[in-house]
Amino acid sequence: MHLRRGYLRQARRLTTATTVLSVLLAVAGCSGSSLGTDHDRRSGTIRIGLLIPQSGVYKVYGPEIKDGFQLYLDTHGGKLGGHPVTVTVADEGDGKQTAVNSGKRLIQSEHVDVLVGTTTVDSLLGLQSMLAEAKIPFVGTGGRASTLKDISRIWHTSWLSREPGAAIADYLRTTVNGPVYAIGPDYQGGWDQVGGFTEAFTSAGGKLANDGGKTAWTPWPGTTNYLPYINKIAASDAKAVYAFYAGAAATAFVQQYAQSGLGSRIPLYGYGMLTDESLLEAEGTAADGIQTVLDYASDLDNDANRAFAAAYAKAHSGASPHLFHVTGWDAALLLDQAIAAASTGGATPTPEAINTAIGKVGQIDSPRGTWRWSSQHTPIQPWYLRKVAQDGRGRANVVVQTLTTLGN
Amino acid sequence: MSTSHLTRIRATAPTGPPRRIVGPAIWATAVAASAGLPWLVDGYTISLASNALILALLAASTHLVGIGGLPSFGQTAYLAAGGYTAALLAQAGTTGAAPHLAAGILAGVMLAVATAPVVLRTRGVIYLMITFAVGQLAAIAVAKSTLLGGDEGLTLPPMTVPGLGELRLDGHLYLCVLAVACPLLLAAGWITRTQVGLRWRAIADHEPRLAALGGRTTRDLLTAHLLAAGIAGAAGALLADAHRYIGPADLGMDVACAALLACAVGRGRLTATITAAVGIVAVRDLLGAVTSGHATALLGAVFVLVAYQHLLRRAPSRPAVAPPAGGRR
Amino acid sequence: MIATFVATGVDGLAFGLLLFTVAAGLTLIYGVMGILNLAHGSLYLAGAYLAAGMADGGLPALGLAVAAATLLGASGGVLLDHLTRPLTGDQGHLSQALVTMGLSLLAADACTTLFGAAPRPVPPPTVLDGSVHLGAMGYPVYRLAFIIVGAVVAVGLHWMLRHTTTGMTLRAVIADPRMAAATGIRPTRVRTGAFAVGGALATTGGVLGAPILGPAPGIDTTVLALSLVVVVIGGTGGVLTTLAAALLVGQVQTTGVLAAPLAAPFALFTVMVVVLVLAHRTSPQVRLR
Repeated sequence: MHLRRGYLRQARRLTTATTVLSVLLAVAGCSGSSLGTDHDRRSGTIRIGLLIPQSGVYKVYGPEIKDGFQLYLDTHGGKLGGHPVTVTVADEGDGKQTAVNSGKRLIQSEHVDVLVGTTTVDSLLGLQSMLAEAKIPFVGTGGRASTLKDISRIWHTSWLSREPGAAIADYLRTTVNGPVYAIGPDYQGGWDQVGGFTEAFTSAGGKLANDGGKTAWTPWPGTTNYLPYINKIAASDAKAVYAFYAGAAATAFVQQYAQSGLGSRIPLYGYGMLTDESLLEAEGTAADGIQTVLDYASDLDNDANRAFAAAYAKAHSGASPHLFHVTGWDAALLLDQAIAAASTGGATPTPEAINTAIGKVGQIDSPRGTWRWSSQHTPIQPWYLRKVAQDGRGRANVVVQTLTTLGN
Repeated sequence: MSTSHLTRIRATAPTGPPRRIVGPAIWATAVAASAGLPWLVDGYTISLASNALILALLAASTHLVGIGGLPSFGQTAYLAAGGYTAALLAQAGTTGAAPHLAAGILAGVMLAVATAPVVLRTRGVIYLMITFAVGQLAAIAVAKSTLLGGDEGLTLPPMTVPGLGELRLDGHLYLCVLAVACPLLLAAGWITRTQVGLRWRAIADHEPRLAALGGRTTRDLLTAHLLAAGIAGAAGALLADAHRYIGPADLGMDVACAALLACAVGRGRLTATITAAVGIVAVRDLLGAVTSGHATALLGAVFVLVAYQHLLRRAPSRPAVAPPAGGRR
Repeated sequence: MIATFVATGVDGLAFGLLLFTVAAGLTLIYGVMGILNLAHGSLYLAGAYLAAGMADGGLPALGLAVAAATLLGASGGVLLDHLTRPLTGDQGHLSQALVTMGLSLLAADACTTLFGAAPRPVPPPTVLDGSVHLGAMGYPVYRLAFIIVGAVVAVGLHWMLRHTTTGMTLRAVIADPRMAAATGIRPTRVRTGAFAVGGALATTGGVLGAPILGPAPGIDTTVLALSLVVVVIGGTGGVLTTLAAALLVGQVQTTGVLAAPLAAPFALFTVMVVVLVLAHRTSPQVRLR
């Protein structure tokens, strides 16, 4: 019972706490009040906010986006559209919660002119209303949910989450001699990714091997043991499997699929993230022969990719670029063209003008092939079928064929 | 209930001028400083201050059951009840702050009535794990519910306050959160000093003895359980309105963990618990923003320091090595 | 269909025994000292990263990794013992929770900084790689081998607690620390011993479990949460109840999702609530206040 003991001590503690907090806030806040919307715009410099995962399950992709974006800046004199830029990086974390805080900081504290980045669909869902109010353009580098309402300021250099599955559906329907089993994690990203496949596949007459034709959803996050689900696949009459998993879940799924001995019986297909280059080492021999669909592979044969891969290898001691390097690079490339078009008479363009100019950018000469905007503000781009194989330096995703071009 | 026991406790508590003057003075200063914040800092910082107040409410809710010896890891369930109720109301066209708050509190309490028969059977670590399960089940349930927006959560129209219209600016939202949080936190502080509050602490100290003296301990804990759920429900309504969004991520394990750890740092004192909740947000989000993703490590270091800082202060009066307290069941 | 359930049931056994190995350490520490070691998942993760660094496909490397992990876990346990020892008194449990939680957050950050965010490969030893047929199903040989190892650990622990002086001392301290101290047992030594053995079980579990539940960010939390569930379901009654709880959780996580896929996300926590409500009607004295 120390109910009323030490009130003075408590008072001192509270005073200390309040002082410390005030100092913290003063240091961090510095500028202005939260009761108005206006702030001074320093002219001359374009401020870019880069929202990428620096922690959490997708941490491995954060540096890739940043390196891609930075590589473009470094090879183009540190300027976009003729204007010097400052890049402020903030942590996207595991999605919504950290992303919203970081996005808020970039928009309201750093007053960025353009927000770039994100990997998961979750992050953007939390940022939507803030973006609409701040009236700045957002250039996404990762998945886009199918459920966004207002996309007037939202642009993605990546893809719509439903597209990869749709791109491979017809290939699997025509080449696999029998039903296909669909499996993925039980959250918005999984529903979009696998849903994109099953919808295109079944509406064209394909048959799913799943019980009752319903996709197998695995609890997410938290599933680490996929054997029960894999056993179910083994018990079905599937002639192929289409799976969407990313990060550690992809490694676990791929390894356990191989360990169960199913790899040699039922070929595994999936979205590119299933055998992402960052995972190939961990997946080892289990990944061999897996075929995936993606809009990029580092061995693509075109001028832009050769130049890009060479520049990347030079900056990173001979390494090959990955998918997120490309979406980061393309974001900078896109902004370069848009900002140049928006700056009439050398003045620094407003976020509004940049946004308008982004929409008017014609063709982007990307390492993954030339693309232009679809009505959904995502690239109209080709999709490739890739296979995990040795490419001389180690395991890599090697292009097998071009599947189709999606977007409208 | 043995009132003589409680009278003795009261009599031994110092009631001099320090309490009468210093306590309220500190509160007044803190409230005045908090109320002035929106004019001093930008929108991002003030939204963090809103988050800090909401976490403080959740921590206060955890504190109310905590002083009764019930370490709750699942107050987020009641936060969810309050938050989603406010969100559904807002989507149905009722955007007023007051109805949201009232409905949020009611929803929290109603869920607590439903969970009481299960969670109040247990104490200690078992209670901790049962409430952990309740919190996780709530998070999974909302993520699976199409009515509640599933994984995507629910987006709300701006809330309205009579006479002021729609609140959109973070500064205004913060002032609204502050106006609700202050009286609730004060009420929580007051209730712990009443008869029933003292009985909670007595239950935590030795429940069998209190029960032998004729105390209806489970009924007392039920009071704490319901009040705590009401405060968590209010926090949920505030959260939904301040963020104009609520989703499964708002009820994650990390949120429940932060609230419980704030209580652990506070050690049964509400002011310290509130300060700890504010401190957690400051360290994790404000300082963490400049550490490129190492915010949790910073928080970890702070927890370790807090545990030992407390030890340093107490060291002279306690033997360095005591026989193990023992884990028995 | 029956073959599917058999194969999955076997898998639940492997998973349950993995959980048992880790949770037995947690139970030991909790039983002897009433400390919930929230850094227990970090010890598992450390063991798993150790396996990732040392595995080269041979059995000797695995044996070496197990030896190194035992040493690492035991020293980690002793360190935790010394760190939590001064934190006594009526608020001791809180301080212990804060310290072990804080350390686990620091350890998680250190692991991602040192080893990167990508999961690390831990291939099973070559002789145990591949799969065998259980009916029509393929099943990884390594997991079958793990079942044998896990069973040996369980039997060994049970025998140790029942029939050795060390075990009896431990049981005495768990049952009544004051009485045990009065009979001349030195509680501090028992405490250190329990922490060392508990830590070693977690890291060894990490090494052996790495091909099943490999090192990646977040695995520490997963393992800790599952082990806590096992500890509260099993109680501190002995090896057998912990084993039963671990096997139950293992089956819920495997056969459970097969039998009722829709209920799968809810299954673990629902089962836990039901078991706890049925089994623990009385108020235990240990509190985390």
